[in-house]
Amino acid sequence: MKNKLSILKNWLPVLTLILIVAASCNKNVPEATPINYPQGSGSTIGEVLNTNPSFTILKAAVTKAGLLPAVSDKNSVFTVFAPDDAAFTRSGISLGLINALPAASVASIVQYHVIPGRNITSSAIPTSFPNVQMPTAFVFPSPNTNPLVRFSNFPSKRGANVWVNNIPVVTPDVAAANGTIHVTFAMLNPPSRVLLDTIARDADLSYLVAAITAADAGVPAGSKFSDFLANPLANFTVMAPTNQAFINLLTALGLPASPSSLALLPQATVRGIVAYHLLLARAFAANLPTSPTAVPSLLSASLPGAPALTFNAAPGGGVKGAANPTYSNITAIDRHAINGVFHKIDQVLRPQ
Amino acid sequence: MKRLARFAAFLMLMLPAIVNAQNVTISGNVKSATGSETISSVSVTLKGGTSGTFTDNKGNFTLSIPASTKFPVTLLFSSIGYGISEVSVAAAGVIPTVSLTPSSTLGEEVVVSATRTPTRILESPVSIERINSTALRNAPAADYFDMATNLKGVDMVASSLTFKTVTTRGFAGSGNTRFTQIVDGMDNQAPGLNFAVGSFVGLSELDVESMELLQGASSALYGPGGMNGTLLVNSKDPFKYQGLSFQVKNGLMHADGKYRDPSGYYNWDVRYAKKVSERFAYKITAGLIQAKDWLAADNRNVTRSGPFLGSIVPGTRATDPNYDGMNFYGDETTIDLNLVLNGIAGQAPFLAPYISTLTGSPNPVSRTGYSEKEVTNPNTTNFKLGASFNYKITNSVEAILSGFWGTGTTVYTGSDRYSLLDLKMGQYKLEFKHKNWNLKAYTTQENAGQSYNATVTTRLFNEAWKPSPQWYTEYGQAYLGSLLSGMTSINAHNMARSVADAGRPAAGSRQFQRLYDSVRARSIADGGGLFVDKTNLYAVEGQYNLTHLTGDWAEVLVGGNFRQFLLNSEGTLFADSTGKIPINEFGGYLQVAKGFADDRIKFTVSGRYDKNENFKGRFTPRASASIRIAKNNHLRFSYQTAYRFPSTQQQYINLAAGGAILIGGVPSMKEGYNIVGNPVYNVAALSQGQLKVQEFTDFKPEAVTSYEVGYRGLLLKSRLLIDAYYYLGNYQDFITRVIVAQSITNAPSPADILVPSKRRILSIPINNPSEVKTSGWGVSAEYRFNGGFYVTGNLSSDKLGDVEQGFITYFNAPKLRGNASFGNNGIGKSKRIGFNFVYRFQSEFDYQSDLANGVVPSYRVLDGQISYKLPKINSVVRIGANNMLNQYYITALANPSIGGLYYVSFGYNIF
Repeated sequence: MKNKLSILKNWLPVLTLILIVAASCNKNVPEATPINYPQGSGSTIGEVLNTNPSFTILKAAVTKAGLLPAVSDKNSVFTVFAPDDAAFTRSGISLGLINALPAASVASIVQYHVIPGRNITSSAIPTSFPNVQMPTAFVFPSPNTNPLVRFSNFPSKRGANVWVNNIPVVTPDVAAANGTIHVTFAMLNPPSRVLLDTIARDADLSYLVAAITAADAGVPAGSKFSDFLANPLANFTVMAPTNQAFINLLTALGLPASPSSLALLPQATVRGIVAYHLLLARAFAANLPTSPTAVPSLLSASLPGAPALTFNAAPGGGVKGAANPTYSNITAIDRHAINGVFHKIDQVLRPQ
Repeated sequence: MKRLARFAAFLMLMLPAIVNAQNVTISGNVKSATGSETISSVSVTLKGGTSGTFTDNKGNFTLSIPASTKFPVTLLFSSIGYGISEVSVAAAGVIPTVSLTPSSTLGEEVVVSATRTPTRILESPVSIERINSTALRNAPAADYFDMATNLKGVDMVASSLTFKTVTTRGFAGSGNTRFTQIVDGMDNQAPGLNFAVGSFVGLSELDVESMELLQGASSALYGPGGMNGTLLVNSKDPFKYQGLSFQVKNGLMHADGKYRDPSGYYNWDVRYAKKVSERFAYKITAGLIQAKDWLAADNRNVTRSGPFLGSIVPGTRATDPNYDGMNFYGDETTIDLNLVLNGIAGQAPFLAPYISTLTGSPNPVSRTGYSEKEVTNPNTTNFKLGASFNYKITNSVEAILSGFWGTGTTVYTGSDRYSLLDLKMGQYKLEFKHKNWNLKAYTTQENAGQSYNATVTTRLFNEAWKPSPQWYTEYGQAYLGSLLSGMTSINAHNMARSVADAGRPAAGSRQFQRLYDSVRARSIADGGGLFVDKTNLYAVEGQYNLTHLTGDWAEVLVGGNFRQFLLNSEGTLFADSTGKIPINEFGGYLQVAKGFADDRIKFTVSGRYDKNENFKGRFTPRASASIRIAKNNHLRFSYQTAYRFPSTQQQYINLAAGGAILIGGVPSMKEGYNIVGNPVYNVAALSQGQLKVQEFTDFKPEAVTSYEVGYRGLLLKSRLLIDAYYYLGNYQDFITRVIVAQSITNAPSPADILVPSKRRILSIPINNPSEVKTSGWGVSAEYRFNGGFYVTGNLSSDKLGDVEQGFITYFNAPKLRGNASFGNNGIGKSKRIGFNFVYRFQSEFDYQSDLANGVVPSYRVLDGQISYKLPKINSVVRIGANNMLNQYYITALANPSIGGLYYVSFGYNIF
């Protein structure tokens, strides 16, 4: 008995030790595992600007705009339409001018070249008519307070050729760790006026202004063409007949060649004509189809069954109303405004 | 309660009326042969007579015997842990001190629950485990209920310190409806909430006499439920265990401060029992546990969509906008942000093309949750009261009026986490006992108090602080704005969250508390998180042992019971807004046992028939045999069947939760929702593009058939006790739920099913036609050394057979678990020092629940205690530790990490 007891006593510490060792390794409840968001590899957009000698003007502009830290941040993502030095020079901008301009102006120019938050490669840019509207880093200035309200630019693609607005991209898809750079042929100039204002300032479009005024007569505020064309958030293409085009029309109708004659036409007719000259999209010349293609106008949107316009940007083409026997020439292109673009034409387009 | 008190008073008044005039007495004192300590609760009986008594807490006894008795007489002295002693007494009066020799004979335990008649455990025809009061007294477990985990084949799910659910043979989970707990003959399932309350309401530790655990199907004797087993806890007879006892156990938890700051653990018990006369005795018990509970702090991300609902997926709050943390609440609210973004695109066409680059695939975003620690009250308290009045109406009939009442605060895991706040439950019983029969009536009175669903409440709290339409609009705008400042998507998400969450009440702030409390206090039916539940159970049971009539032919036992559930949730949980819903059940059983070949082979056949008013009647047979292959060596074979009626919730729930209306499966519920007239369509089929009408068969009870072989025997000169079993289980008609859609238009048409505004989603319980097979084994050994040292060990395993892909069985059992213990209840000559160390382990297993699915890691736990007796003051001092090495482990997903609990206790007059 005593012997057995002493054996136990000898073994007790060993037994205890075994138990302790065996018991000493419970797994903790695993912690939640973070999802890994891999950072892009290679240089950031900022580093490309810093190191590529053909971007000295852009680098200066980005620096002056205070955007260099953002585009150098790997935790950000940007699509940058980047005019190289040659492009700036083409657009008449020198390094000296950048240095001389107020910082706010430089910032708005730079911001207008940047689509933040998305990495848009050329393969993601649609070839559909006319282009894709993208918000830029350029926020609408005061009195706007909504940070979501941005100036837009308009990337597009036809075949392998990429544009932003009416500016060709010469080298697309320069990959960076935090986005993509598309090198452009020229600088993108952010528009500063709305269509209504831009059109009114063009002396060759005073008949068009008169037509708009006539169409709007008696229409409640908010529904007038002039309201739409003054709305900075709208997006139009205006096929703008020159004064001569209106004079030709009035003459053909036997009316005096004066803007006031437009008020003599039935108002519905004038409204129809004005609506027929507006597209609910911003088509730059580069976006126009090069074979005859029907494109609905604002008239189609408000009057189902109304005939579409026919566009054909091939040589000898232009734009044709349903009742026009021939194509109207597009005599001036890509007059850009905040809320759209206008092209001048030498005929008034007629739906019927 | 009032009525019960009146009855008790009546009983007391009856006392003086019954007087034993014609008696003489023998009195004396009983001591241990090895020391000076007196022994209490020793049974003292007159050999060949009916008189008997017990020693009191000082070892004194006084036995009344009829004056007509002829001297000399022989008295029998017996007590657990001591050998039986026969003493011849020549004349009435005081006799010399009687000494009992401690003995530790193995296999002498008698169990009652295996056959409802006292049977030596060695001869039990089915697997059973027993924990006697000696084992309870010497266990390191801080709470007696934890002792059950050391039995072979037992799985325990600990939802909190005071809310533990045990089961055997798989299908573990809190709120387990397949395992019955019976305390002093009363089913302790909360009748409305459908979970067994364990030790939360019930006996105080000092009042537990024994626990018997039946592994495996046991409805044949105990009625519906108990498909996987039954745990029976028995209290101490006030005639036998007398005097004042108390135990103060103070301890420390969270010693390392990992989840919470170190805090105290208080577990105080007191029991007072008095034998007023030979006819009347009573007892009063009380218990209090207070502690800062273990914390469930699993922050892993759970997916609430797709085929594997509740799977754990990568992601944190900072890296997954749709993060839904397992123990975070409020973040279950989720929408596809594309809805908001497309709304913005509609209002701001200039952003539409940009937004369309974001919405190509769903963008689920969840609201920000709060951790469990922040929203529940993880400070557990548990207060228990118990009383029993025992009156011997005649020498052979005893009336017992007893009651348990408990209240407290704890946390429970169901399909969500629930904070059981001020839950109250009482069980009251009147019983008449005769050696051949008993009759009892009891009731369970439940009141959920201020209990609330933490998930629902926190989601509603979020809505109350900032409604989701507003929150998501702010989020969507901030998300776009952040993207437009050049942020990557995930950073923009996080910025958007901080914007939408601006001013979000900090957990614990006054604003948080005020708002949270207002949501918590509103009932679920009124758009809050409170569940009102005052469902009660009324039961009557009786049993008659006919053996004295059938004599040598066979032992015959008959019994029957009636139960009524009275659902009362005031329309918040059940479809009882127009009044309480009664559910009646009745059943009866017959058992015949017959020995053959000199009782070497004993067959026991039982059958039971039960009928619930909502379900077809059900017959459950059981047949078993016990074969003595040598002295104290028995083989056992059994065929058992068991089933359970669907729970009260599965019958009558009517609760809109999480986008679906949960309804019960009884015909009246289906009629209420006009399922025949307005067909319902299977949602799973809808998601595959099929419009399939869901057909319903009769809603049936779940059933199991099990086959078992076992061996229990004494070897090595009765020093070694071995027990082993192997079983096969076959489950049918598993109760599960099906999600269906139903039109809510005046003229229902199948086309409505596709339009969210024209349909509603219902979740209806059905039986799964697939069969599920299980098997398992267990083996245990106990060896007694000289000097009172003992070693025990066991291993067990449960396995699930093949099931079809995607069938969620909730089997939840480890492939292997086991434990080993080493101890001595009294070392050396003075026997003042005792100790017990228990090591337990289980392998990892896949855990499935409505809340989360995933792996529960394997764990190993070492418990231990060392005690020192102070015989002069009849007391014992103990230091003990549960999970001594403070290695945190979880028993189920979404449940708390359990760490070390260290305590010192002082017990006075612990039997």
